[in-house]
Amino acid sequence: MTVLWAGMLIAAALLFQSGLSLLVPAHAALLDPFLIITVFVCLTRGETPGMLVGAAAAWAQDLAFGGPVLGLLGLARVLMAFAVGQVGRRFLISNFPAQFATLFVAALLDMWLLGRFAAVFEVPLRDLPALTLAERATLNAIVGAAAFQLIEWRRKREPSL
Amino acid sequence: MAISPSAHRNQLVLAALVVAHLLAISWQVETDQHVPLLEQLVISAITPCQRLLAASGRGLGATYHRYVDLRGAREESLRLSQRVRELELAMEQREHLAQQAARLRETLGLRALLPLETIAAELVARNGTSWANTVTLNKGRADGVTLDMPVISPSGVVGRVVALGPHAAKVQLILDRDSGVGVLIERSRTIGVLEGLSDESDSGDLPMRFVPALADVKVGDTVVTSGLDQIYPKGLTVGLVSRVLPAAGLVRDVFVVPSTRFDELEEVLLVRMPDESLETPEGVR
Repeated sequence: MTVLWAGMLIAAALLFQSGLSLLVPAHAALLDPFLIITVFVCLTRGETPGMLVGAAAAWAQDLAFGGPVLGLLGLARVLMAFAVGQVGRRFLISNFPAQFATLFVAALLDMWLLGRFAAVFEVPLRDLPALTLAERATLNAIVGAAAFQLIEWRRKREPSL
Repeated sequence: MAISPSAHRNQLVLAALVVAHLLAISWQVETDQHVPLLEQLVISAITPCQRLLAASGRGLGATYHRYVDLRGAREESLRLSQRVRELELAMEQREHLAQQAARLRETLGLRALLPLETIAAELVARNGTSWANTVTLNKGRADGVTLDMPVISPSGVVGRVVALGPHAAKVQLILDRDSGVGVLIERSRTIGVLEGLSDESDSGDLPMRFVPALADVKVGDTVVTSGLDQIYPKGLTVGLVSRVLPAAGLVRDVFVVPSTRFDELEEVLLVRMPDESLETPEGVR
């Protein structure tokens, strides 16, 4: 994975999130394209690229959408990426249910870590209700797993050289 | 289970990213004291080292200063000890000078009272053997001193000049065995001869010979020179009667304690005797 490709992924996530916040501002926060690309990189390239892309994406997300403290989301995402990478290294996560479960757990872990770090550093952060968290995790898992499947389908359709 | 190099790399990247994020977060997050957390963490980490360094520095400094102070104190102590010795010596000298001044005042007082011409002299040597009681004065023939010149002190008769040098004179004290002074009891005017120390002397008193058996003599009577010996002027205080022995025949022995403090004698007056009179005025007594 090149830096350029990673940058393109992050830029795409930025554009998507920006468009979403313009179209459905009330529900834009539920979908997290940066989380999805982090998990995707972790599962396809391993922990290190996943952690680097996750950190960069989180910083971009914080800078673009105003995180309470720069780096707080990045820290949570690095740990989440490491965990996903460890899981991806041990298990074959290629079908939809596995990808869904991974994304679902990753989204919950991401939010939980963010909440814990915010508490540790005494950063005021709005507590989301469990249902909202579940909705967010589910939405990201569905969109992410679908995107993974689409990418996989496209990759399979490309003629091999 | 062997750890692959990629696992190592992953852990290193994880650690680096975590540390980097923690630093970034700490840089932004402020504590209750409105101090960035990172700064507070750095301060918290560095402060103990600084305290240790400061304490060590203070300890070393204090030790050095104590050492320097001790060295200074030792030199100061030596200097002060020297100064104390000098001051003690100066005090002794001043005390000596004060005593000397007092004695001289006393001597000069006597000299003023005496109508006789006198020469002041100081004792420069003593001869206190059992067979001779003499002293040497620092004035001699060149100063006008002559043989048989009577020597007196403010407290009484001292003796007479028996030998002369150009600048020294030997004085036979009235304590000397061969000394003889014409004396009289001032109250009863009883005359006699005061001799030097004898075997009969008790506690330094001197025998007064040739006192008539019927003479009125009492212990405590004042004895003065009679002038009959042609040496001492009449009326100089010699001493007090200390003992009166029973009469033996026509005479009796009387003992006199000299009034002169021979042990403390330092300055004396040599009396130049006038030819016309040997009488001493009453005020001298």
